[in-house]
Amino acid sequence: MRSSPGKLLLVASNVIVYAFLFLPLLIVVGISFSPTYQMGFPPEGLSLRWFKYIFDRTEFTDAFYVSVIVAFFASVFALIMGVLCSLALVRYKFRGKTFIENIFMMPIILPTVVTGVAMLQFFSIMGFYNFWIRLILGHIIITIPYTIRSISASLYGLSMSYEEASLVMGANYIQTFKNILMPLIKPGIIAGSLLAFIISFDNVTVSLFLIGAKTVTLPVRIMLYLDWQFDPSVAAISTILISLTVIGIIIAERIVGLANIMKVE
Amino acid sequence: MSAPMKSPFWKRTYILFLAPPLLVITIFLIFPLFILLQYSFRLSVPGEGMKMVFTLSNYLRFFTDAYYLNGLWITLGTGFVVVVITLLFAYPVAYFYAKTRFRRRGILLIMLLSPFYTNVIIKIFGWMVLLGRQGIVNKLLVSFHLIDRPFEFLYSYIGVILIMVYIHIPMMTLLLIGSIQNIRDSLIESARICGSKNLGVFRDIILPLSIPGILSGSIIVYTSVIAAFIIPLMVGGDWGKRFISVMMYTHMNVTQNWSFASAIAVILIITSLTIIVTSSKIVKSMKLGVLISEKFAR
Repeated sequence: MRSSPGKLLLVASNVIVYAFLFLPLLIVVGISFSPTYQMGFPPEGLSLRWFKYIFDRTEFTDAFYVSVIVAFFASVFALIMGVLCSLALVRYKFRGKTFIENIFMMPIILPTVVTGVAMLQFFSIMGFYNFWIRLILGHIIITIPYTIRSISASLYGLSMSYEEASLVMGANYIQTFKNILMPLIKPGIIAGSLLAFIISFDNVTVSLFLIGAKTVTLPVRIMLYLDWQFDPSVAAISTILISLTVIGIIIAERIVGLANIMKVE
Repeated sequence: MSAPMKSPFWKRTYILFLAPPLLVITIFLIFPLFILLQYSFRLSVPGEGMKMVFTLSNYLRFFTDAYYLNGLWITLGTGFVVVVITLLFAYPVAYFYAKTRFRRRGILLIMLLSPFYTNVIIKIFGWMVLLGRQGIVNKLLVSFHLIDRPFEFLYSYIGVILIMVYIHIPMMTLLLIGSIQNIRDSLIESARICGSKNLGVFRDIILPLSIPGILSGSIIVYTSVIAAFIIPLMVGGDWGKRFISVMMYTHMNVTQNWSFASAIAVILIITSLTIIVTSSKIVKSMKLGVLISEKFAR
């Protein structure tokens, strides 16, 4: 294209916004290599002492395991619920379907903080103090809409003739689901469970209400740590998480193409 | 995309499929919400627990006490400010992604999604480092003699707005990209052929046709901002305590006034539902408007 003042302005504003988006992340990565307690940038030297520090003290690593365990169970259950729900909503026609669809989208529409408070009150009244199950249930509720969405999307795109053919040929429903439907909606299942895992792993708001002393998730642990201390150890754990995020996104781009996932061209 | 009408499965098996997820969401979300609603009409007495009486006093307290009412206005106003600023930043980014023939768009998407999927606490931490008294922003401002002494960005209104804008830019951009991509290139070209200059094309064609995207993006960001909780709690300072969700949290966890906290939660739900319902109605009518203008353009 020709270069014009408007075009130049567009490019310049893009450069500025992308720089703005990356600035805090780069700073965090930068100070994680600081050899001192200083949070200044650039750091006065390079060292890995803060990475050693977070592995020596177990609070961050323990919280990491909690987050992984909770995210794993939450996404598995949200996936099962998502498959069941999508089958009913996409493959059947019944009265009150829109209403039921809306009910399952409620966790997205409701302010997350309200979901957290409501569930905390409920569990307290019920005297339900298994904090693992509290936390996992909270995370199942907030991730269900996402698994339903991605699985429904792949079911909608799938003609029913495959299932019909399978049933006509004498397969029963379970065989049909296992051998025909499952492989065909696999992209939706993978995308949905990944999204559920990420949303659960990243959640702070609901977790904050449902954690117990032994089930503090990593983001909440970092948040509580920042209440009392402000040192580069948080930068070190953040650097690990940022790297995992970026690597995950690049892998997703290479394998399936992010544009497909994000529904942009 | 045609939704199939007939099912090879037994007619009513959908109930079997629907029952487990519906049970989970009813027990663990809908039922708790009813309890919350019920609590908002009760009275929490400090030291005595909840009194099982019916009272409107929690709502009356919220709407008669200037402190809480101002909190509501502050929350709603902040949402508006953040949406407008976010839009100004996100629109050029979305436009560049959607409409220029830039080869490496995959990289742009990676660059948008990396901050989007980075944990919110990490993003806030990054800004705490940048904006602190000894932070880089203050050091730069002092060394350029723009300010005399370090400015307290954190725990101030400016800091919260800045971080909220930062967090919502990728979200807004992703929401805008789709609607800008839907604008047909033929429309833009015909405007050019008819002699319209760049600015004219933008003002008369591109901007009006991206209004549905702008509106739906703004609604989603707005509802996210007014329910925002972590940012005002962590970097809001005294000002953040006026945020409606933080007020609810305080009454829930600090003063243990559950019935008042529940009333605030109900007010928050009603506010955001009202905004979602009314504005999505507006967006729907806007989309109709776009169809009409497209017809004229042909």
